[in-house]
Amino acid sequence: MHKPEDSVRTVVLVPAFNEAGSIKRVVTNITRTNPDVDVVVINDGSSDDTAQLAKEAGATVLSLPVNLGYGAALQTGYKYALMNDYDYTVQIDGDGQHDPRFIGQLITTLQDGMDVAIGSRFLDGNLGNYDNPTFRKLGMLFFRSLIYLFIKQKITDPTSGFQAMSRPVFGFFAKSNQYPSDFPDADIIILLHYAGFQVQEVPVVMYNSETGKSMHSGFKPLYYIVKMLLSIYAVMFGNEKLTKVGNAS
Amino acid sequence: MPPKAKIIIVLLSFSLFMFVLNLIRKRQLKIEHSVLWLVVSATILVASIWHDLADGVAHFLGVEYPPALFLSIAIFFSLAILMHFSIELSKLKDQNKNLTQELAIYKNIIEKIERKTRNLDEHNSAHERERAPLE
Repeated sequence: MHKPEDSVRTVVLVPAFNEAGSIKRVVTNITRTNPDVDVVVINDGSSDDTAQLAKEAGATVLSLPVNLGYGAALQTGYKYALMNDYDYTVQIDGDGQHDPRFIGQLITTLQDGMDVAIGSRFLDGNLGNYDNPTFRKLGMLFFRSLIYLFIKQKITDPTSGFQAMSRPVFGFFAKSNQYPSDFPDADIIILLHYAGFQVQEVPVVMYNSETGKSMHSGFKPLYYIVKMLLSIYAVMFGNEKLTKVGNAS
Repeated sequence: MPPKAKIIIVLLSFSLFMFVLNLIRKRQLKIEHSVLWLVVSATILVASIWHDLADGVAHFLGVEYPPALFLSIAIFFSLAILMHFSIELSKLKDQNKNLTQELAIYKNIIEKIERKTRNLDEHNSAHERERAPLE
């Protein structure tokens, strides 16, 4: 059911860990291109002045007293969105690699009845100047096929952190013990499928991280693959009830 | 086994057992964590006093070298305690995460309320200043 457009409330969640170099620009870019959304920066125990700069740029700041990890920071945002009755969440990385001009398209996809919209840099060929290191390309190919195997739907960019969700989805994640503390990835896409949510990709442009560190930097790829396979195993055979949570009004 | 060595080993295992009991008494060890430790220290104590027990059990199971059996059992219990720690640690991490997240959200709410009251105070005092010259 569609609400009248002007009463739909969207919050943009920006998890940020030591992003003082880019956070101000990221927040102002979001508010400039999307004047109707609220911006919430989740400061994940940064040791620099990320929180202060985000506040100055006009964002609401949730400061975690210790560093919990990307996924746990994001989940804080889902909890906040649920408490404050938002209809949609959009998540954007704090390093400036996601272009906020695509927020509107992600939201439109949700309004067309999808539960999750994932911004993909690989739909419609390679847009932008995102140059992709080889080992990540291999890993991505591997998880792409794995996802296809489980959900029979082609997801071209499973590691994309640029996503939008409707309330039943972020409400589900806000309460889920299965939501990972570090990096939600292919496991979450499979979890979404088994929970009965509809996922669709939307072509977006991504840039190389402005501050030069990717969210997977320092990650040992092999460990990551094993971790992800175990996550998928937990999703498939775990005992958390995978039933779609009732659409909250 | 030479009697001196036996005395030392019995004393050591006895003090381990008493140490665990003392921790429970002083509530420094949660009861639910203490059960495994009690079982382990009691087993060590009994085995150190009653030497033939280990030999008898090994013989019964057809193990030729009794100390091997004893070491295997010891390793098994150590692993069980370590696994128990891992499980507890995961649980603690989860609880810690939830607490931290809620803390951040409530900190934000408090900031909002503080801002509101400050604005209200400023508004009120401005109001009083306006009225003052009339008196």
